[in-house]
Parts: sequence; C-alpha cells; structure tokens
Amino acid sequence: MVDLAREAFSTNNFSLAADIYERTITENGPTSELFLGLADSLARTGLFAKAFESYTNAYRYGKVTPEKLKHLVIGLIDTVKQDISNSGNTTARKNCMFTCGSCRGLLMDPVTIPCGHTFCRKCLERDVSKTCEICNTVHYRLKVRQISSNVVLTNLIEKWFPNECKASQLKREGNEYIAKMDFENALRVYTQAIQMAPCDHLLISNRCHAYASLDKFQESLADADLVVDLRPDWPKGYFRRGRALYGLAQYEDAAVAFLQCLALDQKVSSAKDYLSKALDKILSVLPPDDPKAHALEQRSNPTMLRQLVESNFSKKGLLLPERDIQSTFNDLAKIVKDTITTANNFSSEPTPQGARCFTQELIHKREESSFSEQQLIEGAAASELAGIHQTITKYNSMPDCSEIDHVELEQKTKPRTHSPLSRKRSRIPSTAQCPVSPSHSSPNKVLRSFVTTTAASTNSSVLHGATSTAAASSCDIPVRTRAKNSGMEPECTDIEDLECGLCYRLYFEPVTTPCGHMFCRKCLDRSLDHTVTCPICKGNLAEYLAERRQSVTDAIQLIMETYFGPEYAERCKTNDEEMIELAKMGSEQQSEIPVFVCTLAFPTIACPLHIFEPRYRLMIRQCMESGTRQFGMCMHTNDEDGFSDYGVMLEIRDVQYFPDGRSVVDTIGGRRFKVLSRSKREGYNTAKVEFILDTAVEPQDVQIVNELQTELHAAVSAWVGQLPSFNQSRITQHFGALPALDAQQAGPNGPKWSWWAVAVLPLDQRVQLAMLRMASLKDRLVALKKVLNYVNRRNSR
Amino acid sequence: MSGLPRRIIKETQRLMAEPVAGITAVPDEHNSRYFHVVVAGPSQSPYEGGLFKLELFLPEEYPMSAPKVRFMTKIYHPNIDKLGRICLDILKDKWSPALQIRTVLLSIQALLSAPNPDDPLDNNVADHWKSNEKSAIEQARHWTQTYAKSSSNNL
Repeated sequence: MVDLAREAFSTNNFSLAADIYERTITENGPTSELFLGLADSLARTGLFAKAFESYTNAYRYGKVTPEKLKHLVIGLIDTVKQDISNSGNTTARKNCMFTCGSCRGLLMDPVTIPCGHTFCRKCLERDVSKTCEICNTVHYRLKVRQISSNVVLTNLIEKWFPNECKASQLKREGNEYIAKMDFENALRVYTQAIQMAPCDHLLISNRCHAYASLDKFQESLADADLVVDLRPDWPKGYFRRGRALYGLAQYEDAAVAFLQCLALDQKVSSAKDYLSKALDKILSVLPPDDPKAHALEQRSNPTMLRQLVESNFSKKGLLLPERDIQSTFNDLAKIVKDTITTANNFSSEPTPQGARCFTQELIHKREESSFSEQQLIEGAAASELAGIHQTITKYNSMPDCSEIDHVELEQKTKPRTHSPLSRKRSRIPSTAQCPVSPSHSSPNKVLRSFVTTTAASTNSSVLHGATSTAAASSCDIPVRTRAKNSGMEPECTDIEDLECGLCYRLYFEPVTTPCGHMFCRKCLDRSLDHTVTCPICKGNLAEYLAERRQSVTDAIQLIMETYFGPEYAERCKTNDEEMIELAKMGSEQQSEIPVFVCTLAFPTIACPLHIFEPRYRLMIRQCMESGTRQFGMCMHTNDEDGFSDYGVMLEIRDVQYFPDGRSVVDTIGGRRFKVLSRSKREGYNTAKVEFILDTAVEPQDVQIVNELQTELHAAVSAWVGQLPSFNQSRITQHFGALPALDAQQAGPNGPKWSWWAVAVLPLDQRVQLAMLRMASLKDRLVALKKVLNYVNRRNSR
Repeated sequence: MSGLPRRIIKETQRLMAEPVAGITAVPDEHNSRYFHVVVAGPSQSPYEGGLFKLELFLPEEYPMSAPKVRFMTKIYHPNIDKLGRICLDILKDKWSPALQIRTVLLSIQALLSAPNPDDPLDNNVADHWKSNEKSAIEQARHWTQTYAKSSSNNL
C-alpha cells in the first residue's frame, strides 16, 4: 500500500497518494512516516490546513527532521511563486538606469553585456548561468573578464552620485571584513557607509547580515525592515527579515518572510532551508523527549497553520477550511506581485511607492496585528494627501505639464524653498528620494521629502488601482516627474556627457563595444565599414562586428529619455527625418537615388554584387534600413561625370554578410533611368533621375512585334545552342537559362528574354547602353535583330 | 548634399571658443569645410619664431576619413615634402573618427617639435638630418627665418 502511495506521489498524483495514505493510516494504525506521506501529498495538492494537521501528527508519532519538510516547502512556494516572465515584472526591471539588474544597487563597475543590459561586474562574475537577468538572453560565449566597464556609465555615476560611490567603496571594505569573519569592523564600516548613502538597500542588508552574525537580531530585524521598505521587490530583503525573526525565535513571522523571499525568487536555497527549519520549529514546538510531549499527544492540538495564518494574515483566514487559506495565500501572492511590478529604479521613485503599496496592503490585512507607529503615521499622511494626488494624477496624464506638476506638488505639500520655474531647476531632485547625500538631509527637507514621497506613492497606488497592468503604471509616470525625483545634482546634468564622440550629437540607439565605449549604432557601423577597431581605443572589434549585434544600451537610452527628454525627442525627430529622406530615394519620378558605379545592369536580369568598399557598405545598409531596398546601377566612365548617363535600378532581394562586414547582395534589375544631375552623399554618388518606361506598342505594330519576338527568340536560342557547352553552362550559371517567350506583353520594362539576350550576346557596352535607352520595344527588337545578324555573320565566317 | 554635418559645426564652434595655444584655425568664408590654419613654431625647435600657414580640408566622408592637411609655408622638415604634404600616421592609416581637427593640429605641432627622420617623406632632408643633424637644424632655422616670418606670410 505504502509503495502504491509513493508511486502515486512520484507521478504527481498527489490526491490519489493522499487517499491511499489516509486509508493505510486507518487500516494499519498511525505512524510518523505515514502521516508525513499524507501531509506531503496534501501539501502538494494545496490543502495546507489538512496538511499541517498531518504534519503535526507526524511530529507527534516520531522524530521529523527539517529536511523532511521539503514537500511542504515546495507546495508553499508553488502557491505563492511569481511567474518571472510575467509582463509587469520584466517591464519594470527593464527600467534600470543606474541600477544593476541583478543586485538592484547602484551600478558598481558597470559592464554592458551583448543584449544591451548592464550589471555590476561582481554580479555578472557571480552568475554562472550566463543568462541576462533582465531579458533572459543566454550569452553562451560571454566572458565577463574580456568586457571592459562601460566608460560613459561609470563617468556618469561618479559624477552624479559621488556619495553613493564612496559608500560603495566602503561596502567593499566591509565585505572584506565579513569574509574574514570580522563582523564588528564590518558593522562599523557599513554604518559609516550608510550615513553617506542612507537609501542603499545593499548596505543596510549587509549591515543586517553583520548584526545577525553577531546575534544582534533585534538590530538586524530593524535593518531588514528598512531594506524591505526600500526595495519591496528584492527577495533578499525578506530573507534577511526572516533570518532575524528566526534568530528572535519568532518562527511564524520568519516562515512568512522566507516565503515572501521565495515568492519573488524560488531559487534561493538558503531561504528554502530556513523555511523548513522555521516550519520544523513551528510544528515541533516541544522536543519529542520533553516530558510534556506525551501529555500533549493526548490533547487536541490546534493546527499550526492556523496559528501561522492567525498571526500573520487576517483573523478570518484561520477558522475556515482550505479554500480560505488558499485565498489567503493568493492574497499574499497578489501583494507580492503588485510589489514587484512597481519596481524599480535606483533614482526614480517606484521604491517608496512600492513600499507604500505594500505597507498599506499589509495594514489592511493585519487588522489586529501590531503594526508599528510609523506605519500608522504614514497611513494617515496618505489619506490626508488623497486630495492632492488627484491633482497630481491629472497633471501626470498631461506630459507637457509635468513641470507644473512639480510646482503643484511643491506648493501643496510644503512651502517652496526655491523657485522651480527655470527649466534647469525643474530637474532638481526632491531631495528625499534615494540616493540622497546626507548633506541634503536637513530635518526640514527630510520632513518635506517624507510628505512628497507619501504623495508620490499614493499617487502611484492610485494608478495601480486604475490600470491593472503594472507596466502601464511604471511607464505612465511622465519623464519630468521621474527626473525630479532623482538624487542627482542639477548642475551635473551636462548633455555633452551623453554625446556620441563621432557625430557630436546626443546618442541615438547607443551601443556599447566590448571595450566599454559607446557610440550611436549608425556611427559605429560606419566606422566599422572603414576599420574594424574601436574609434576611441583602437581595440579590436572583429568579433563584435561578426556578431552583427544591434542591441541598444538600455541604461543610457533611459537616462536620455528621463533627464534630457526634449533633447532626446528632438534627436529622434532628426533621425526620423533622415530616414524619411533616405526612404524617399527612388520613390518618385525625378527623384534622387543612390548610385552604385560598377557595371551595366539590365531590367529583370539578376545582378549579384560583392560589397566591400566602405561607401557601398553604407549605401546598402541605408537602403535596407530605410526600406527602399533599391539603388541605381551605372557604368563607370572615364570622363569627369564618373558614371554613365543611363542606368538601371537594382532591387535588393537578399544580403548575406561575411563576418568581416563585407557582403554579397543579390539584386535584380528594375526600371531604367536617365541621369539628370549628379551629386554625392556621405561618400557615395547620387543622381537626380528620370525613369524610362517602354511606350505601349502601337496597335498597327502589334503583329510585327509579335513576329519579331518569335523569330528573335528562336534565333537567340539557336545562337546559344551552337556555343561550346562550357560557355553555355557559364551563361546559365550567371544569368539563368534563356527565359521563355512570354505570351503576354511584358510591362514597362520590356520582355525578360530580350534583356537576357542583350546581357548575354557579345556586345560592346556602348551598344548595350544604347539598347537601354530605347523606350520602344519595336525599336529595340529591330536593333537586336541587326545585332544578331551581325553576330551570326561573324560566326559563320 | 544637404547642410553641414553638426559635427563640423560643433568642432568649428569649439575651435573658436577654446583655441589651442599656438594654433589658429579659421574656416573659409565660402567653404565651411576648408580651414585656414596658422601654427606657431614650437619653442626650443628650429621652427621657433616662425608662423606656418597650412590648409586643412574636411572631405565629404569626414570624420570617417581623415582631414587633408598641407603646409602652405615652405618648411625644412624630414616628414614634410616640398609640396607641403605631411607624413603623419593619424592622417593616413591610423586615422580614427574619434580624432578631430584639434587633435590633428596638435599632432602637427608635435611633429614640428620632434622630427622623425626614420620615417621620412623627403629623403634629401631626412638624409641631411641623419648625417648631420646640427647642420640640418641650422638649415631648418634658416628656412624659418626666410619663409615663416609673419611679414612674408602677410598675416
């Protein structure tokens, strides 16, 4: 029977397993092992109330180690876990400017990986999965050591966050003490660092760890709470809290905290271990050898889950069967999810808003629990500001008014200390947001900022309620609002820090090289057309080029959008205009087209090209990016014009790139054109042209033309047929076989077979060019006939 | 060709706003890609006291290709030939689009301070330099006095 139950369990047939265990217990009498099996089965089906009862029984009948609670832990995690691929989460986490996507702290030694996301070097080195934590791209060949730090980001961070940078230095020092188990000194250094960067959750978390290591759990708990408030979406904060609570023997609270941690990240194995330990403590309140244990066995024991639920959730939850407990867990899951989605940027406000959201929810949940005085105050402040946030919401919905929004907010919350009217001023941080330099934190300002924060968060939770998708809420926050909330110095915002070193404009689609330098994607592409080295450091970019990477450096993109909104919009506009300019090429009569000077091409005939010259690499790229996918092909001439007066448009069918940036372009001839005037563009030739289209065959000529076609097609076929087979196969390889005589009259470009004949016959290019100019099919056929006669005559001689 | 690229406008503005010591570069009034340049001979070089006129032209593909620079004033230098053409790696294969007019002119100024007869453009001058440096420097000084004094440059 037990084997059967185990088998059912191992095949995920948990309810069946539970049934069998239950029957076995009634038939064979209770044992610890059977109860454990039953409990595990129930836990995996999500019937936690029953499961806890069984676990309690298992503890009563024998010794159970924490490891045995594995399935309970899995079951609990399954209930609360968040789908990471869930839209809200990723959208929010993409919004990282100065924040590491992994540790969520200020970027230290930022490294931009091929997908365009940036992490601390340490965080990347620690992660062996080679998977980007933001976009989940797997970089199989990623070698962090071979990527240099992102120069632009490093400079920006040092300039904009000097105090936080110093604090990060101290953090390193502290971490070294931790490694040496010198917790006292670590504590001292962390505290010093926290004074410089009071909102750095990593620092507080580390100090929290140091306290816990010194068994100072009360202090540790205080720090953990701070961390969770700062970064409600950061799993480790909950782990720290759980660890402190565990140390304080508050096992129920600890279990909840660990569960919150695991809800955010199911992979934290230490949290799993501690969760089972905490559950073990809850379930085995008294050690089995305790004299009281026996007495307890006889007594009806309230299930521990009830206690757990009672002390942590609402009073309603515990009294009722599974469904309610289930929904309690669902509630927990929902809170956690809401919290994640509000996340999170180092310098933008979602942090406190998330915290706010979370605390408020908790206040609702814990109707009778003892929330702290501070929470009470915050709650009050929030409701007082309920009126204000409507105003804010109103202005927020009008991005153009975001500066007014700033004024409004300032006015309503606190007497203004400065005039926010000038544009530069409007970028001033509201001082409260993290990171804040201690020098800014005069009590008055702290108070003001506190109110502002509350307002902002209230506002955002309103947004939350209104729009179910979190993505919307984090994106809807207007640019200026975010900007003003950053902790950076206004005088630091120098647009030249974000200018491409090649075009001297604001970056557009900034890309980062492995050597850590940044350029507009198009600028770097152009430079790579000429030489495969970094324009700044001359580092080899062959591998970079071969990968044909296009990913934009997210952080910089977002910084520009946030802090230089108007300038960035202007830059986008310029780019759009440039693209429109390119896209116009060849679209209208008498328009300007790019000209490839190489050979004669013919309508409807394929023309493969090997592209290696820098200027033509650029030309092809522009043709592809603008979507025109066509350019003019003209013959080289020795006069000062440089290329022939007539040519053919080539349409790009396919481009195959070599790793070194050269390419083979498969094209086919289209319209013919006459050059009206010549010009140049970024190194290649352009021309204003007039397209040549065949005139319709006169009704009286139709008969003649058709006869000519039949006769000449046969003649061409015969001519090819008499060629040596080697020549024949070469012709077929290059131009294909002689196209069939199309019964329908070909379009404005003329019948395909006739161009095939012009291309294949041994003609002087001047003759071919002359044929190209003829807009009358009849004239062309007559000319072709003459040519064929001449060729045949010469052959027969 | 549409207007002047922003890069050239900015470079010109910056050159005007923060000129390099000992160098002036002024765009031609008819052609913004053409600069009239004057480089003062560096002190403690045989060119000291001289003012050397150069022309600098930014080709269509600039900054993807290097500016074209030429000495207009006669100069006795192993890396500069009779036509004023300059042998300088960054103007040839070592060009990078991250370089700019300013850095090019600084490099030329540095070339005057440190002639390199091992990578010559004018073999006669270079041979002279290598066989009898003192006499070559004397000759360079003499040319400076003769051709590169401000009066003869009409500055």
